[in-house]
Amino acid sequence: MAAKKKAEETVQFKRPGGEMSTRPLHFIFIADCSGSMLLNAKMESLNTAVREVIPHMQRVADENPHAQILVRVLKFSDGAQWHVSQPTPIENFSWQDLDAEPTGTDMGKALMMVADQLKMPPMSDRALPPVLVLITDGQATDDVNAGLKALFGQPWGKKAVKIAIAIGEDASLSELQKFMNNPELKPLQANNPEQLLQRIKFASTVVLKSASSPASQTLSANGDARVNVPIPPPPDDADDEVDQAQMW
Amino acid sequence: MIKSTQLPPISPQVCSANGWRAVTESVIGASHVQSGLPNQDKIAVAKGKAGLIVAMSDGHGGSRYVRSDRGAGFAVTTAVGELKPFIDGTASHVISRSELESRIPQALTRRWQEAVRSDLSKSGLTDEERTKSGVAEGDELSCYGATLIAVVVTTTFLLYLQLGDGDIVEVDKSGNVFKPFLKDVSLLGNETMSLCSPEPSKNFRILSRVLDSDNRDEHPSVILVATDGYANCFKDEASLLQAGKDFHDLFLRSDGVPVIRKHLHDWLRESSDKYSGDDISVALICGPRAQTEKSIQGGGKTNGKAQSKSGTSSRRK
Repeated sequence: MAAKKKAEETVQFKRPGGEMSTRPLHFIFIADCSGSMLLNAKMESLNTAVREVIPHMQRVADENPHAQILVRVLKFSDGAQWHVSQPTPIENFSWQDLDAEPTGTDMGKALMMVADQLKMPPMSDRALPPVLVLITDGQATDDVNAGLKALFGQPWGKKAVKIAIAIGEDASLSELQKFMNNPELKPLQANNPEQLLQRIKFASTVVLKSASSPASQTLSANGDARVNVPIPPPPDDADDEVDQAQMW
Repeated sequence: MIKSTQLPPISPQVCSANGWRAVTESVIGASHVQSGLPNQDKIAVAKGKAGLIVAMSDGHGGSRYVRSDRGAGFAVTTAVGELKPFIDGTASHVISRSELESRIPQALTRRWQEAVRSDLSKSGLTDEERTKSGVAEGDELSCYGATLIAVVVTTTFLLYLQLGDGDIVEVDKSGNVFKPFLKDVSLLGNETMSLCSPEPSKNFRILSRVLDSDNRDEHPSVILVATDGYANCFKDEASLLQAGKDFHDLFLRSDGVPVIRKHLHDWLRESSDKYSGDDISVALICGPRAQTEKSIQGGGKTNGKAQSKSGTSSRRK
């Protein structure tokens, strides 16, 4: 009888308001698939590293049920193309290998395509700051500044958490620094497969965790919150075990 | 680890004055329970012979803002102190726009900063707080960062005031819902204006209306005030506005206030636990009309977007 009364009451007094949902957090891998990635098995190392990191991302998501982590993958070589175009909940996400092509490095085009997806709509103003992870071993062969301009022209592009991973010594650190747009953060250097794994893991777990449960950030005097999400320092290079034979 | 569900429920508080009634409730966020932080939200309600003040503040809660729960407390007591003449009947309700734009934000900012400095003089930052916050020497005020929303309601006057995130939703007698302040498009995600920002008085948003005491049909029926942890539970703005209408409909019931008092804590608890994970504070202010209606006659709609009614509105920039 008491249970019936409680059930009736629950139905009668449903929680006020419309539909509720956790806040979306868009995580986008932007991967270089140009010809240079064919050398020294860099493409293979990237595929292996991301595949290994996915369960760690799923663990981060499990630990924070208040964010819905949605993953996409964009590849660039001659032009750019969505490898995973639909924002996919991390719990359903599995890595499909990327293939490199003996072509150019159209990073600018890739950034433009990301910028297009960060418009509102389809993005929502209630989203958590998106995380963009750019991984490259070279320098852009197209107009990267046009891509950066498009990216920073979108409010979410400007305020996204942007992490760049430079594979080997030929990556253009200046381009990656411009992409990160934050003097307090430097591109993460990966000079062998193990370092690449560690850098991707840092971006996909530590950074993801910070972005998925951010505290409020106040704006500076110029109205800008440059560091939208405080990012913990990356692990020290000295901690890495470097296999000289595998150096890129 | 203490789970939020293990914390003792606190009955919503109710305060009434001159036909207005405020029901308030605050729950700690699941994420703050997990990290061992106290509830960073604070609410203060004051009554006078003319009406009510509800002040609400959300301390930022990040590692940089190690004393933001105290900052939020200073924000609401400062607001009540500064706005009290309006409900005591000692302030003129015919207030000029320039008075609203300049004097009140500046006075609130000054009094909040004085309260923070006084706290620091009595209890300086510990080494642990200084390390955790990374605050520079001379910038200790930022450790107390908090937002502020205040509402003053009397039979002849209505004032909304807001600095930073959070929401005010007004519902009229027919159940139509609107937000007096347009969403600040310069703020995305977790960004907010704050009492600890440079020149905070420039970023206050203020709106006032003179109310006709002989025509209470034109008074707000229900005003919903909430910290951003509440809106962040909803899928979209329309779903938040629906909450305003649903609370309005509940108030129209003869047993509306007891029902709300009985369930509000659980509704907010569930919302934080399942959705935003943040502290949630809600104040529901209902006017005389909402308390005297006996039944819901339907009608009313949420417009899905913010709009402004006529009145004095300002945001200094």
